[in-house]
Amino acid sequence: MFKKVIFMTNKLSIKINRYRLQLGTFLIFLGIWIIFFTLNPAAFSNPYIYHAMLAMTPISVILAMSITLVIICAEIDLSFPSTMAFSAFVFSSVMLSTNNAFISLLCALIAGSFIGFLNGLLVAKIGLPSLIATLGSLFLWRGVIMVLTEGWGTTLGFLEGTFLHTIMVGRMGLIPVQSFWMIGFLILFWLIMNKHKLGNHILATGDNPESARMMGINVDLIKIIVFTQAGFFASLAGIMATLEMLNFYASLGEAFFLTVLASIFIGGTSPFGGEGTIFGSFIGGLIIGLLGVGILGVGLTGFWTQLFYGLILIISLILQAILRRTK
Amino acid sequence: MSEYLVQMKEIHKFFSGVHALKGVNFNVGYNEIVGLVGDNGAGKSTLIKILSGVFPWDKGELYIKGRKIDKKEYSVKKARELGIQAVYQERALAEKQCIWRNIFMGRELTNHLAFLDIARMKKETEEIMKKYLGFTSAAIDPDSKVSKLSGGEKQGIAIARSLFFKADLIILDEPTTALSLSEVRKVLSFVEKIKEEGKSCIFITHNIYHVYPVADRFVILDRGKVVMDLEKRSISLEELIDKMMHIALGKEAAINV
Repeated sequence: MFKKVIFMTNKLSIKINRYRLQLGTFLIFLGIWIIFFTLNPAAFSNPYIYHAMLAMTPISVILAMSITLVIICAEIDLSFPSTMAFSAFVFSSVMLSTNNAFISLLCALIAGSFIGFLNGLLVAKIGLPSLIATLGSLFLWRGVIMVLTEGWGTTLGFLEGTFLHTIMVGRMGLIPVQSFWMIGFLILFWLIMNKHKLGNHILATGDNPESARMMGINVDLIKIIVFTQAGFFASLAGIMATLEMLNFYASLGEAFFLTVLASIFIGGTSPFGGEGTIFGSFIGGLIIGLLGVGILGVGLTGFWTQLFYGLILIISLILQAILRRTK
Repeated sequence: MSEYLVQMKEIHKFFSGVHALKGVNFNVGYNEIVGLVGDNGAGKSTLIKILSGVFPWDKGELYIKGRKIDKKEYSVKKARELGIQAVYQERALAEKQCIWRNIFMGRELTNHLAFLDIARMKKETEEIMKKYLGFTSAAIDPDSKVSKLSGGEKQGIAIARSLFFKADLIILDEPTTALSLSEVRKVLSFVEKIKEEGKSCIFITHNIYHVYPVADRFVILDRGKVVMDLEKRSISLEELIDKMMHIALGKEAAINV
């Protein structure tokens, strides 16, 4: 009996050890929440603050989880803000001319996936470093939007309450529907990275492409798949943001740029590829979202936000460095 | 069935004007360990890359299990299908991944939706670790990261992986370079395992002391040519070293002229 208990605790401690990075990130999230709650219990026991948080945070979390795959593959995608905007532009333009929500959605998703696919080709087939290739497409697609719209936006108020609007960003009771999409994609990405062959190939490609290639993995194809899915999800995020705000504007997506990347690294994904965590990026995204509403919730002005983002990012990275060093 | 598992006849290779292999004849028998020895630039890695399908040869013939190989159709994939696998020290494993993910890399056991059968892969890995590697320590299990293993153990994982997937010829490229003495001993015991399993091995090294205990035959390459091909029973370690010294001195003399 006693032996069994020791065995069980041993097994538990191995498990805890294996997931210590994710656990660390989760504790940071909890810590921040407790600090906010202590500072302003009234605001943080009111569900409205969480509804506010769950309007935009899921969009940024979906982006973070999708780009985590790119980073695990030892690449980076900087182009997602422009991909979001370009897809949203396609969506609103097709919507205005056809008035068919599903054709618009389809066109926008295809456009976003195509941008991702092009990024993949530039990296895998032409051999450009992804940092530079996607920096190029970040400018390029934003540039295309600027030229086409001359900086003007489009109001899409007529979409409110339509079927597409309801299933993408409607409210279930008080909860924004995008939160359910976020949970759904969390499960999907987690399954891919932990339980699916594709995830195994992404890990191997990011860790040691030479060895992956020698073991028969089509490394180029894996990279193209990874960039294409990033394009697809950037597109979906762009459409969600547009529907949530019922408005397309030319600089859409720019606000997500640094916070999404910060979420991934707060979550414990290594910038060197071959390792990373979907759950970490999920919590990382929630931390950024919580800070966004929480800083205002405790009575500070919005001028404080970036200071706290930076602080949390650096604290998380220090914590990860310590956790990685100890066995 | 042919007498040889692999037979290379009069193989030539040119690299933009450099004559890297000058009519090499090289054979590997069934269940034979061949020590392929030579200095840097002797043509060892060129020969091995041709054999494992990395690039084609320019002139000559290659037979595998008695079948003549068409050089236009030969590739790394084809070589693997024919049971030839190369293990490169730096490029063999993905070190941040755990052992079972490395063993089954590119050949995962999955269901029809390509979801991984993790329980089965872990169980197989555990058996591979026991059977081929003699790992019994509780500190290392299929979930351990490869980066936690020693240099010799990493080589062992790569060799065990090839054996598990039914390779007939395992090519080890400098498997003992930069390893401590006890780690070299581990690698040599893994090479003996290849022999016990009835498979063949080409052991590439420039350190004759490492390969002498395990090899059945020695082939010495020098400047693109086979200068010696001898069974172990016909030569002692001292004689072998003596011959190698002669080759090295001959090379120096040639340079001095």
